[in-house]
Amino acid sequence: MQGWCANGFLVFSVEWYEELCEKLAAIGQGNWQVRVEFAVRDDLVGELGRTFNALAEGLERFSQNPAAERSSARHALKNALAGLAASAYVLAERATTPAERQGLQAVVEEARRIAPRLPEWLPTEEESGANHH
Amino acid sequence: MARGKILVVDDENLVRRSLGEYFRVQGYRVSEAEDAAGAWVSIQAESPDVVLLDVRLPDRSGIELLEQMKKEGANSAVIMITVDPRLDDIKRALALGAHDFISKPLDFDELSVTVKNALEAQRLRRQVDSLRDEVVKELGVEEVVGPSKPMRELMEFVRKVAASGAETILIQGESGTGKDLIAKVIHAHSERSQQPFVAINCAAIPETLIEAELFGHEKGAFTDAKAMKKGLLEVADGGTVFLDEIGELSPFLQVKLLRVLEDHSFRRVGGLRDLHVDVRVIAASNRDLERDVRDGRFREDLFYRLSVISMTLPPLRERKEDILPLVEHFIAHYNYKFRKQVQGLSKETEQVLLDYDWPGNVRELKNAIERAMILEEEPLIRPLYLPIRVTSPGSAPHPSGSGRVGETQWEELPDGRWLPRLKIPPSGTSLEAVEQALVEEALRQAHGNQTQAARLLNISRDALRYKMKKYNLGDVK
Repeated sequence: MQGWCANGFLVFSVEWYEELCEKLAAIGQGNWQVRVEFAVRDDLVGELGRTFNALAEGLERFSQNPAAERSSARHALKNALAGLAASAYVLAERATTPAERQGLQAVVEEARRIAPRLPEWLPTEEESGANHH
Repeated sequence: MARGKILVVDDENLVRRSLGEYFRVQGYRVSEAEDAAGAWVSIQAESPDVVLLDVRLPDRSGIELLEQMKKEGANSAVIMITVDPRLDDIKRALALGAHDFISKPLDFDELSVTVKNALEAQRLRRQVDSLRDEVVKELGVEEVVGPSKPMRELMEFVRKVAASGAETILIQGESGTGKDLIAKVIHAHSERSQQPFVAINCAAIPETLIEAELFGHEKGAFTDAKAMKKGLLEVADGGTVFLDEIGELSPFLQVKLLRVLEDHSFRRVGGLRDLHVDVRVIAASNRDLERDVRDGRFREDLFYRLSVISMTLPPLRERKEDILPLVEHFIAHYNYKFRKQVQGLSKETEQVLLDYDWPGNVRELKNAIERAMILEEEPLIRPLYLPIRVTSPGSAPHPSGSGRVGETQWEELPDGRWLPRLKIPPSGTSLEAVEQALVEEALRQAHGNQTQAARLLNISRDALRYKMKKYNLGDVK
């Protein structure tokens, strides 16, 4: 999205899907403090944003929690990630520009890359024990 | 026409909404539920073809819901979805009849193929069920044979009607003219041909049962309703329902049927929810429905709704040029069925068949040929093996129309013979005396020829001789 600010400077800002893709990549690199701005929107895109923020918050919070409590949290986060990927896929199908389609397809791929890493980030008690051995 | 009904059950809002939208865009009818309780309500109300069911739901597991579906007889294809595929869950779900197991994040291309396969498997299952019913009922599947002008015109009309979007069709015609066969031809030539064809004879099922048979029932709707059962209308969803002898439907069911025709909705017996179906209804009757409407026996609104497209099948006596081609067709059919090599008709037989009026129409002709082919051992069928009413029309009255000729009422037996309807006087009678009278009558009609008399009674010559000795009937002519 781009527009003119009141002071006359041309301001560039990224589309929401670009922001989402970029911040998912950040999550993949272990940066769980990231949040998206478009979560305030009152539509499916906004819901996507809120789900992303909940995922990031969850990773941040549950990685600190005792391993015994992680099992159900991990399930919820995996589900949230699956929701992000599913929504991005469907939105890509009805994208109006090639850039939007490519951006959303990148989100789907990023989400698929992250999904298998959740057990590594949030190991359960059993898995933690196995790692220690 | 929707490609199928899908129910998406997932508590993750984005997954559920995305799946819903994805399949809606592809032309499916989709409903959504976020927990097992809501899913069960939808399954009962809508009977989806496919259920996409998350393993982990807030109120109970998807596998438990699958178990309930199996127990209660819900026959949707179930595709389980999960973020945590566990071998135990997969084994249990597949043992319970789940179609497939898909893991999240979802691969939509893979899921789309899985749903298509599940629908195809579901469709084939339903088709096998309806074909199995057809085989059990031994319904004929012959092509319509009829080179006569009335039949050629009729078949041209049938083809047009079949290809049209007409949702109701009325077929009228005398008994035995082949109304059921025409209904099957319409279905086979329609866009619905890959979906079920379900037939029900409204006169053959007691009124108390026909409602549940047509509309289904909920569990506990009546004493014997131990589980929910889909009605034939639901079974035929997407296809064709053939209601034979529609004139016999009770006034109450006429109203219920009218509602199905008008807004495609109905309720199961004992049900509170409206169900929606997409069916073509073909109704048939050998009664004069217009007269029934005038006499107040048939609803006028239902008649006009049914008869938007209507056709009348001509009786065989009005298209005698069809008789010999039909006979040829039946001979080929029974040669195959009975492993015989009958070549055709003798000249005399041909003339007998052409002279007869065939009040029982094609069905009567078919039965006569079947009987003759069972008995005939020569290459050409002789009149000897035709039913006596055909060879000597005055001697054995035919039970056409009301089944009443003179003072005797007759009933046709499955083998084409006719049974006089007897009444026992209040003072009683003697079975032996009745048997003796029948043996005497057979001998009289056969002019004392024991072989022919035995054939009239469908017993062996030895059995006839035994009875003649028993009743001391040495010389009846």
